[in-house]
Amino acid sequence: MSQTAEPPVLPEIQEKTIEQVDPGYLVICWDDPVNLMDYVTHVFQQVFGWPRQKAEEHMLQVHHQGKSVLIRESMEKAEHYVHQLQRYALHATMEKAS
Amino acid sequence: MRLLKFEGENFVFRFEKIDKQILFCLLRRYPACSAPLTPETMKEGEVIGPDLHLLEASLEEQRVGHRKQVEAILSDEGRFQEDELGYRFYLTEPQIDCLLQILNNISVGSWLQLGRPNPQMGKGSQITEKNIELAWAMDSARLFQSELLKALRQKQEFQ
Repeated sequence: MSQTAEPPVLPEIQEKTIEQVDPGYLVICWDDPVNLMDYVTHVFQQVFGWPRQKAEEHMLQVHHQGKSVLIRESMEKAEHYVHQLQRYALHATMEKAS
Repeated sequence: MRLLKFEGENFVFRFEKIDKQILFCLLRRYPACSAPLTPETMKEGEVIGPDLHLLEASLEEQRVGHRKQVEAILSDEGRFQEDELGYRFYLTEPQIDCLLQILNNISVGSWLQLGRPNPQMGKGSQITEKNIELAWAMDSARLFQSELLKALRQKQEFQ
């Protein structure tokens, strides 16, 4: 009876999550003194399809903290969302996530 | 202006005659701004994020669509039905969304032309005989926006 060969010992490979390989881009909405709070909530609902409660939470974060990170996405999708928010005249930017 | 009822896909608003006149005066001011909203501190040429040229093209395309919507309202294609109390104004939800953006453009554009007043930061606006129309347009557009947003909220709560 032949002996079963021992499997070779491989060096430990550190697995990287997709987020570590490509952290993506953050879409940020900034506070401004001109857009109505209810309008900002409405825009978040329209652009992201969020329920009212979630949209209001982000709107209040924008209002009280000056900005809110709305979503993390690939560059193309983040650009799309920034365009959409700008079309509604909100001040939105994107930055590379770390 | 106030919401009367929901009728099928339509929101039905009560408009007094003066409401209609004010709305028409406001809509004739569209577009009041053409550039994307950027912070006052942003330097010229600084990148917002996405390609600015693409964004500007997208905004121009949007303005064309909104102008058509403005012309449709101004030409009064059946959206206003006159009765003894004034008018019933019919809008669907997508039309409300569009009108909100148009009114917001007027409000934001007027605010920019007023020098970006920010009372919370102690920067009030200097209202003069020359710019009082801008202050009127900004506040009136916001009043209409508030009523439209209230109607959308009522619909969501109703559902």
